[in-house]
Amino acid sequence: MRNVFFNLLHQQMREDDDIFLLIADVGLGLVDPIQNEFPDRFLNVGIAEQNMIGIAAGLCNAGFKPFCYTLSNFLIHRCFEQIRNDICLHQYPITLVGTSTGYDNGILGPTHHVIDDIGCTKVLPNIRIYSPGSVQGIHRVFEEICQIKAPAYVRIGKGNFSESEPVDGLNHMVIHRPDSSLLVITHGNILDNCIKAADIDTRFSLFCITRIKPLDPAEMDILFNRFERVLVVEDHLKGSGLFNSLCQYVVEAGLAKVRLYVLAPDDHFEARIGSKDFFSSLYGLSPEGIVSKVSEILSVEGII
Amino acid sequence: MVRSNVLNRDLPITTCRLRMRIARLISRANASHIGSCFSIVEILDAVYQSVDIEKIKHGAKDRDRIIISKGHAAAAVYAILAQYGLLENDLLESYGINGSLLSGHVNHFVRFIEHSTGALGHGLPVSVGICIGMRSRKLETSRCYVLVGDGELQEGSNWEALMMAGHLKLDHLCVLVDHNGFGGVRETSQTCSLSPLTKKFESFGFEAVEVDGHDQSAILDAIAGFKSGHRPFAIICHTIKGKGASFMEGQNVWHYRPPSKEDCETLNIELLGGSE
Repeated sequence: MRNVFFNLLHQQMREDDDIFLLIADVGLGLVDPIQNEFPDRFLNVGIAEQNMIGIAAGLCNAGFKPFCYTLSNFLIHRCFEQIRNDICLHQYPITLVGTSTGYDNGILGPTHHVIDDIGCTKVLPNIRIYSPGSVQGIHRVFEEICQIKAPAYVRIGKGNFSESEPVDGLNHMVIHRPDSSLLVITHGNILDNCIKAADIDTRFSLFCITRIKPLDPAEMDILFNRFERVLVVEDHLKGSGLFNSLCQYVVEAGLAKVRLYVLAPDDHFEARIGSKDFFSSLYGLSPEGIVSKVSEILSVEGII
Repeated sequence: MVRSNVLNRDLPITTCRLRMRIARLISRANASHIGSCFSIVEILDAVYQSVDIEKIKHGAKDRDRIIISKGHAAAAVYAILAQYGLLENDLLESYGINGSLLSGHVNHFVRFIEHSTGALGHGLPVSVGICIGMRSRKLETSRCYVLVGDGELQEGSNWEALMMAGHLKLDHLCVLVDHNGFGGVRETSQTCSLSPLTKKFESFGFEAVEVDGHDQSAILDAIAGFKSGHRPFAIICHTIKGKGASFMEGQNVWHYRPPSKEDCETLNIELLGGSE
């Protein structure tokens, strides 16, 4: 998905002279074509992420629309004050492109478990947050950030998952089963596992929310009118991710009949290392784990 | 140069009047940072003398940028903006009043404030970005002036920016350091020494000069040197925190303490012979 995003960016830089790409010394080989073609609109700032954000803000002052790229843990956590003050406060059209999200780099240990980045960013006014789950999702995200000049964070997981059906819109119903009473909502890299789970268990529908912030109230109302039981599956701490946002939405909208469930890591740092699949199994984010949770919900609800 | 006729014979009358205005604004608002404001008055005035105000007024793409990284010296910045016709007097007089846009740290909701600061260590990276942008746009005549405090230089982000400025040879970047020797609580030499500051800048690829930060002609000469130079430029301005008020100079309690009405009257005598 990362390669797709940068190919789109490369094409767009041919159309839009205001785009400037900053990287913080990551992406070996990835951005060379951009650097070669647009040496005046590319800079590798070195291993200096907070400087990258400040430079991006300065570029906006000079009329540019910068993209800042590095691993999400360096991009978001290290640069929080810069993102808050230099980007969001000024409503600058800077796109933060963060990769290796969730447990993509699980083997590297807890400093590289990117499971709180949505929580860190969504508290900031003016920023838009995208978590595409497929190549098609990357295209929709890129279209929107080109149209809307606003601060944005794009959370890109590893892999090149492709959905079999054409995708309309940022957020979309991936699998709609008219007789289902349970809706699974997911985003980002876990979409793949959710689709596999839906192949095993046919009793739920599946919706993908690519734009985590802002949520679309009209869209949410349609979903919650149709489904009163909703399971959120995400590779993000449950206290500050999409589940948390949906909890707030349901309470504020007074949707008393809606019951929200969650599959997501608890509020802790994990000392153990492991692959993405290891952590998916650990937190029930694997296809089998999702099927198990679906059965549990339907059982408790007396559906089966 | 027209000089003040009382205690502060070394200061121009214009900056003495500015100090008086700043003191009254801060006193009425019961605000902090008068010491930090008084150390930069000559620096700010020299910088605004050195730029094309009309381009700034019109928001020209090739205007010079002035970034106030030590955003807590806001009252001095607002007073200077008013002096140069960039801030209405009515708005200036709203400083510190509920509902006013004039915050205690400069913010971009005020016209002609290029960037909101207040958290320290942000102005330099932004200024480096501006210079990179100007270079990319081939705006050969635009320059960026950034005013940083010496205490602020303890923030690591500055050194990332300075390293990059030297690496890219951003010769349109002028860093003015208000070297008053104090941080928020005590001397920077006691908390984490900046010495040798000039050598540090030079080792980062800058041309660096030291001036008396209350000698406007010396600052103007340094800025002329910057304009004709070919490297990023640092002007280390040796200043006195609270300069112009005998009872404030070097007394760091005035980092936070607002002047009373009586203090303002004393200042009026010391700065202007009681004429305002």
